Amino acid sequence: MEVIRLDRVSLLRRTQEEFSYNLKKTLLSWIEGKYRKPARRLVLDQIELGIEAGEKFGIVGANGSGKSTLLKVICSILEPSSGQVRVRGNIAPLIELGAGFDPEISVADNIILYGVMLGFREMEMRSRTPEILEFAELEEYSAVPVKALSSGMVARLGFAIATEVQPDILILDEVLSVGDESFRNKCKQRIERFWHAHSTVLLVSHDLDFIRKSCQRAVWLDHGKVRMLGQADEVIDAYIANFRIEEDPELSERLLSPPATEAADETPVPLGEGLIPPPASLSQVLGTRIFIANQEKQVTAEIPFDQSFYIGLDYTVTAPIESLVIGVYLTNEQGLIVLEPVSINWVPLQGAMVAVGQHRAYIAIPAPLLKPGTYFISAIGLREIDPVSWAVMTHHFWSEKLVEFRVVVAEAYQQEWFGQEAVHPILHWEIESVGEH
Amino acid sequence: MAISSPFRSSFSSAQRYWDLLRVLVRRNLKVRYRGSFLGPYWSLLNPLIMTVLYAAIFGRTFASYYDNSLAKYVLAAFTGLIVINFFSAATTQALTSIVANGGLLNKVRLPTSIFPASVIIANFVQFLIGSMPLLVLVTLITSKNPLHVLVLIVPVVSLLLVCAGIAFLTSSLYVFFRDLPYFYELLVFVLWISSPIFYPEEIVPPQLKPILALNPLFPVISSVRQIAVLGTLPSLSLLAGSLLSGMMMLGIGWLCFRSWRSLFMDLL
Repeated sequence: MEVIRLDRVSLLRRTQEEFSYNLKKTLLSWIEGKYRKPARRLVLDQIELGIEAGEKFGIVGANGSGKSTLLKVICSILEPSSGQVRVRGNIAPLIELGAGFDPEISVADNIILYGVMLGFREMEMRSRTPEILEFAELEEYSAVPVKALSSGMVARLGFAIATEVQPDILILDEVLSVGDESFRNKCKQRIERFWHAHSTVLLVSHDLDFIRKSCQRAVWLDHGKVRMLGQADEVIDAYIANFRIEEDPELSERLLSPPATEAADETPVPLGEGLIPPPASLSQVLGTRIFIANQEKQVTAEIPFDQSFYIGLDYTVTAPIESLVIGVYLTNEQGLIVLEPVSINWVPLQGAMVAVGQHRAYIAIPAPLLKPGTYFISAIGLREIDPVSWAVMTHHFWSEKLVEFRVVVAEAYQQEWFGQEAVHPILHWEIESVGEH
Repeated sequence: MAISSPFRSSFSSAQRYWDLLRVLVRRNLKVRYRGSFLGPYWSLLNPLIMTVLYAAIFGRTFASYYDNSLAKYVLAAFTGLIVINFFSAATTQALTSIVANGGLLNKVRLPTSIFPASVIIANFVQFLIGSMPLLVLVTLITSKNPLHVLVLIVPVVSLLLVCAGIAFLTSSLYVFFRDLPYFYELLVFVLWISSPIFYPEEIVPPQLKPILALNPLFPVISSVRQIAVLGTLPSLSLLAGSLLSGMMMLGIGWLCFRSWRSLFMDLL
């Protein structure tokens, strides 16, 4: 049975930039006869979509592709300009937790307020308040105004209230990115309960792997149109492939074509430290210098096999950016990418690293790992990305050998046998006797 | 643990509206009175001070229009101030209410009208607790007739209707024009001066009176004053006029709100 059906749904919205929001100006332009009707843009274009009961359904697409608009149309927050939306059963909105809280009034009052806005009866919310407080681990805070809570507590409260609803259709829009690890697990368990209760789930997430794993089908929206609709993994694969080609042609080329043998490379690669050439186009973030440093953070071109070291990167943020991802290719003599450290795995996108000014990033490389030999830092990327869609907004990408360094055999490992491998971590062996001959 | 769905069909949209209204009004009042022991009586401070000021400056001059009684002038100014204060506070707060909750409207499906309505009702509750007992007391003292208190309900209800109509109108306009508060402040000032608050109606030149009649607060203030200060019952036509102007304001406000409502979401 289909629970959500969209029949050729289109939505025109007024573009906000063009609108003056100003009575004085509007009146004056009326008088001068220059008044124009505000322009409208097609945000959703003939969307055809059917979602079955119990289905877990993912929505992917770049920022501005219409994902959240589609959700709003399904939740009937927005009415389509043409076409029809039919929804069977009740929908729990779960968009941006904590949006409806009033910071001035107490936690208990907010539970009632939020619950009633989500569609509960007031009396029902009163009886559920203790349970919600317990789940959110905020029993002692019931009389405290919400503004006195930490952001993690607020997120917990929002989740606890929103999931008190057992909806037929659940909408998850980046909810799992809140709270600390243990609370996230608790959330996951609760969401799994919805999962097994055969609720229909609509999932919007930048975590493409999560969609791949948890959804049966997915839709890829592109400029308000359905670009692809089908099995989740196929849609995700196509989306990633396209995304890479569109956003980063250089990188995709590298990925799609095998690395060229660079024997003919004539310019010598600097040892230990090198400067990064400026980007071809303007960028708010610039890599300036890359270097190899020992444990004392002193620049060097030779690292003993058993000593950990740092890859250092100087960069400058020239104008405010919202996020930053730093990535580096560490390649060996054969041109193979041995390591590709990317900051997103370790440091938050926002925060200190994006402040305007000069910065120095150190990437710690453990030892023993790289087998003795010659290595290069052969590409660096500094990109501002959209935290939701991961679309690259501005970047400084340089793909060329920037620095050369060597890992040398350490004294303690004189007897070590190194093979054809790319890396050489110390592996633990166990031989057990499992019976006599 | 069985969790029932809150969206059962037996739970009608009228019930939901009512629940939302109650919760939002209570929140509005709680935020307002948090940590203040005088609560709604704070709202009397402004009209009291203004009354003292007016009495000191105009009292002697205008007392002749009130049977040469300074007390009556004071009461007249005070009742007028209570009305205009309620009007200006309620509608000014309501003006921004839709835009202020724009983020919320983008996340949860809510009836848009709930926001201006809850602001007006919260202010009205404050009016009923803070100012109304005084009006009732004054009426009882001057007329010694409990029936007059019942008649007092007519202008008070009219006042509520006027405020609600203006709240719907301005809160929708504010979605489109964010410089509206500047103009609205001006309008409130014009209404303030053109309402006979600190001056007697009689001093207005007769040729200007038809223009003043356009002021929807005019019949409200006149009838409140006749009931509470002069201890007489206002004419039926004045009472009907005040009720009519209230209903007209609400009608206009609601019609504009209804026809513009579908455009709000693009601008919130």
